[in-house]
Amino acid sequence: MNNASQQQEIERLIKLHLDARTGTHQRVMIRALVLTSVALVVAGFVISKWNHEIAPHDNDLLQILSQLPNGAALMMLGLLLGAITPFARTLLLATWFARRGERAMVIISLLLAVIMLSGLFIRQ
Amino acid sequence: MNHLQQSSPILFDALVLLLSVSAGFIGSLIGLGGGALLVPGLVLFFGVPMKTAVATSLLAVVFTSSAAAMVSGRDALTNYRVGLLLEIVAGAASVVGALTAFMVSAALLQVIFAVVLLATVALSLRRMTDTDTSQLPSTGLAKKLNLDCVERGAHGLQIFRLQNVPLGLSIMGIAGVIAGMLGLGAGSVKVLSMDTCMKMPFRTSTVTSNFMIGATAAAGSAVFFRLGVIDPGIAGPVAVGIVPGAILGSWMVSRIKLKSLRLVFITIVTVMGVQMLLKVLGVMS
Repeated sequence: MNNASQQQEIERLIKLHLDARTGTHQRVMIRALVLTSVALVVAGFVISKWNHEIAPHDNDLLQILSQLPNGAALMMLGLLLGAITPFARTLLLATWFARRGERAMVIISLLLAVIMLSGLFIRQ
Repeated sequence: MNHLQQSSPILFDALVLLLSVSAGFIGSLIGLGGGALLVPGLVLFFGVPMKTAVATSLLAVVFTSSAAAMVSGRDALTNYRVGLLLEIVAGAASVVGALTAFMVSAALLQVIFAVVLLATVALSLRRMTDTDTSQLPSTGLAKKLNLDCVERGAHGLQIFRLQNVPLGLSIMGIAGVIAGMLGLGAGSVKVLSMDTCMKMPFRTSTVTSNFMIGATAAAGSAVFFRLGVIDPGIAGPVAVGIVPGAILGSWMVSRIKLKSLRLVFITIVTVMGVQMLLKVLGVMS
């Protein structure tokens, strides 16, 4: 590969990087999700101590969440919100690839998003 | 519920919080991931059941990855195309790993954990050198999905043509099972797959691996949420502690001399791994 074509190839590959605007959107979204998640966990913790809540014997997700706004339920909601951050990140990347018309990468991103959620639908 | 949690719940929460801050800080500083300290710490010092510790640690890995992504300047280096592609295998394997952890005995899980932890430490000690692949043609999946990348080397910007993508995908299967089953980030296995097998530059591999560990851990965590293994009383303080620890570690990584510090922390993790193995084998009480 000569110098000129190598330079062209470098420029082409750099253009494939995540653009600054989407990068900022991603960072803002992650900060919002993580901070909200931590705030919910702290609020849940304080409420559970304040009300002298007895720790749930069974940590079944739906059962705990049905007891909102209990302390343990708020904590669980916060943890769940933190856990879906990579899922939200993947969807954001999927929309970026869709805007660029890269169908294969959109499919890969959506497939990954489905895999990430698949654990929630496993039968006990 | 263990003795300390029953007799002095506030002290228990405070100590778990302290362990999590340290795990997040050390994990992001030396690149071993918080799980390497969290799981042995929760099991050995707080008497948390192995499966609960694994589930908590896996959730903590999600928070560690997100906390590192909150620090700006990483997007330009992250190869999201490679990350997403490899995560298809790693994510699915993590689900399998989490289900396996739920099914096998706690003692067996502890033995596997100790062995894998020691192997991970050994992996993290290897020397990293980038291979020049700029003159090779772009082939297969790397060409179809535009996986090749550019990074600044000694002579300016350099092209890296990715090789052996199917082999990289297979190694991701192992990394995913390790992550889901043992609550580890398995970052060193992922970096091994990307830099040694696929010839991606080391720095890009490390940053991309940070994006990936979050996705792998999220897939495994979903299983633990569904199966009721996540205890909010333990995972709550861990999540709150790990975020500032990981942010501080990510910020400090370029500001302090890491060589001797890294050696100290690697020794601590090794001792904990050996201690865990001896305990489960009945050599130590």
